Amino acid sequence: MAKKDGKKKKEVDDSSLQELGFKVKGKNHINSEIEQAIEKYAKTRQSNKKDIESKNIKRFFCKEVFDRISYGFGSQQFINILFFHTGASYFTVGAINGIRVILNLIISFIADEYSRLRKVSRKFIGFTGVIFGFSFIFMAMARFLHSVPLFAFALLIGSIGAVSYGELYQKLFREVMKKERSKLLRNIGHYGLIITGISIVLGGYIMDKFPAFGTPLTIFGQEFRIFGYFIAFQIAAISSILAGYFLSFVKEKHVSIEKTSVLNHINSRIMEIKENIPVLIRNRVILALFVATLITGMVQTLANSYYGIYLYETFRYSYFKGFTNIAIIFLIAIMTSFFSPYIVRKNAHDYGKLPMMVFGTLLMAIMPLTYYYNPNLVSIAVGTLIGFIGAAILGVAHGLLTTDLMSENERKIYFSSYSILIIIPYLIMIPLGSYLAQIYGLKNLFLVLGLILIFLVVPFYLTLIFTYNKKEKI
Amino acid sequence: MDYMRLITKQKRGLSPLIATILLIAFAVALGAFVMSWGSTVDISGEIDSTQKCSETSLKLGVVNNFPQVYYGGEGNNGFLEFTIENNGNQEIKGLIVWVVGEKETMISEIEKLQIKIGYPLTKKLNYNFNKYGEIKKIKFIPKITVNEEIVTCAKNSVEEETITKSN
Repeated sequence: MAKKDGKKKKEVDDSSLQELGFKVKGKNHINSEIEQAIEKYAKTRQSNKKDIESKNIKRFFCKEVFDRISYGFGSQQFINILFFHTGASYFTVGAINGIRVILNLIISFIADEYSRLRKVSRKFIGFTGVIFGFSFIFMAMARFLHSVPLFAFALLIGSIGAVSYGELYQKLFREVMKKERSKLLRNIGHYGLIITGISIVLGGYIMDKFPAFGTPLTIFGQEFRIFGYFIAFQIAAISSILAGYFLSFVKEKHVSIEKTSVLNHINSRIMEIKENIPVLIRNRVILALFVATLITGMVQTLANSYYGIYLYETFRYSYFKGFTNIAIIFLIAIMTSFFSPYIVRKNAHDYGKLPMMVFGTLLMAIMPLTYYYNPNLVSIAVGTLIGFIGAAILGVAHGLLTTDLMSENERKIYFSSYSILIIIPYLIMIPLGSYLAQIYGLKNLFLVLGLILIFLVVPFYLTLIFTYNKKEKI
Repeated sequence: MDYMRLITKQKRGLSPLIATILLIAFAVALGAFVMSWGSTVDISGEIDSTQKCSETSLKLGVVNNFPQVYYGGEGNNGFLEFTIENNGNQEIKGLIVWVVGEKETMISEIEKLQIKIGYPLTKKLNYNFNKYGEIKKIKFIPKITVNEEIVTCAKNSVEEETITKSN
């Protein structure tokens, strides 16, 4: 009987229950018994499915929450400041940040192509989150030991985190979860911003409360020194590791994957991109978009490497003091993510996408120019808010424009080729920008970056608007 | 349906050129406002240089319990060599060195300096034994930057009386 039940279970896994009924009836089993067994198994299967779905929801939710906590406590601005205080020069900070961005893109590209051929398990994605968490521990150690090479190494190792929250993770999320997710996960984007905001403020407060020269503490007669950066980075590390840990328990669906050589596939993909790029860039709009996005990306990477350092050094003993100043400013900026996409989509429809891209770029330029012309915390806060709104406008308008101009396949090629083609320009321009920061100071760098956006990027979009001034909006 | 199509065809939207000009004008106005408005608002209060100086600290390098301060040469061609470490929480941008001799005190100001946190500095100064006499004491006073101005932290000085002859 047990063997017969086992055989029936196997058949249920392979075909629908109705078909199964017909098959089993053909083998001279009693109708009522067959129907009873199928009904019983269907109910069990349904409840197992719901059970697994509910557990997956909780695990994804925990993963998302811990990830957001880690983004707050281990904010990029805090990392750059601590890197600078470890002894790194402006040049080193900028160059290492540039290399980190390039590594992020390369790792994401390779991971994405690998996932087309081999099953990338949730354990692997979870493991990358654990490595990301450990990079914070190494950074804290490096700060303590005043070791610039160790800090740089930890920062670059952290770029592997691109896998744990990047496209691969999003793919896993979409495969495992149904379209209609629970309320928890549907609104995680908004709750996540609040969690990140609270974490960044707490992180800044802890780092100011226990400064870098150490606060003496006596426990059981033993004297210790506690460092705020150590506490904040430990929290970031533990959160990342827990996020990876929760992800490793997610039950995923089995997907059949073509088994071919990974290297051959990546090579053929690069060849495919090489062949398609001339076709794509023959379209002047796409070419202009590509170049403008490349320059904007470089400006953002450079500027983001130094904003935190400048704010900390300039306003260390005023306003909210130290790291809390940076936390408050970037908290305001994070909150813009609540409403900016809605504003952008509405205005892109009314004004057109290209005009919105001009507008977004000009708003982005306000941020570095405010740091140069009016380095006062209030105006910097407003400038930062406007800059982030500008970045959101540019990003959404860019996405809408690429959807209008290109088919889905062309868009995939465009974004894949972007990841590869920016490597060499980034390797040249970011160290150059970092060198400018080293020689002429941060304020002058911010001026140059603001002027690049206004006089180099905006003209690209303006040219397109003048050339394609038609009744239909693009 | 045809009527709806007719209405939408006749309805003219904002031309991209006009939309761009309007948006540029708005962005420029907003930028000008942000860059000029905050300059009249000052809620920072003065940065307390005392607070910043309190985080400044210097110490003389020590090897085998010997402070790393040496003198050498003779007459007008004497010299003084020292190694100091920044063990505080502020980058040191300048140094005032007092060399107290038997006859007179030499005051030397070393500017455009950068001693990062946790880093040492080794320096050699010329010393005129004929003018100032034998060295009795040496004192280092750090200078730091507060609000883009150089401030002297006189209370955070470090002194040394054991000065050995260089080999």
